[in-house]
Amino acid sequence: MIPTLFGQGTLTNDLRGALEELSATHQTIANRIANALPSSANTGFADQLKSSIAGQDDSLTRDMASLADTETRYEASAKLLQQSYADIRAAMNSNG
Amino acid sequence: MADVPGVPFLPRPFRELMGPLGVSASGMSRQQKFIEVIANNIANAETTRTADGGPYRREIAVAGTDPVTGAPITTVREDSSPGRTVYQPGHPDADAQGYVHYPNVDVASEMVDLMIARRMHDANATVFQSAKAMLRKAIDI
Repeated sequence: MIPTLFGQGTLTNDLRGALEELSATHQTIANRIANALPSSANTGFADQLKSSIAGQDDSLTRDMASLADTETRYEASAKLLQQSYADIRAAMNSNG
Repeated sequence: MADVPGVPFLPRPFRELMGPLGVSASGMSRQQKFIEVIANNIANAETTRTADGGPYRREIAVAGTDPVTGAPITTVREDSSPGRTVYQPGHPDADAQGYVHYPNVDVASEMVDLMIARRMHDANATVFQSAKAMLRKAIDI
């Protein structure tokens, strides 16, 4: 009975896996942003322009977009998991 | 997961949950160091006499990792590029020929660096807020 509620292939198990994966993705993005281009190591406008042309500016924008996406997916998965647990709890407590 | 400097030691599950918070915090403190160095450069852009005798030399913050621990570190180095020389015979710091040696600080460049450092700091703060929100969601399950 219990494996059919929480075991592999169940909604709760899939959602837990999704949360773990999204958490790891979030950590990777956080690492990338924290270790992004050191600003003060550049010597002037020409260097800034070069790095901007090389796409480092775009990569930060992309990372911020991925961050928003990951956060939204995490929120949705957490809400679904919460609902899924609430349904199981309701079934356990019902007298029918 | 490596320990993040400034983040207290926590048991493994908590460390995993708090990981992005620590990473963003170290990113923010790195950008704060950059801003501190830039502020120092701008404040001394016209300093023609330092304790060492000559004009102020521009400082550069360089981000790197500790070769032993792998922890992120920020070192401050001196910019060796030459400063500008202005003919001002009446200046107290003028040399025998009447030239004053000014610091090698270009305020416009410093302002560009400052804008980028601020933006990176904001990005790290956003990641921190996002990690916090996710953590709260996980606790609410």
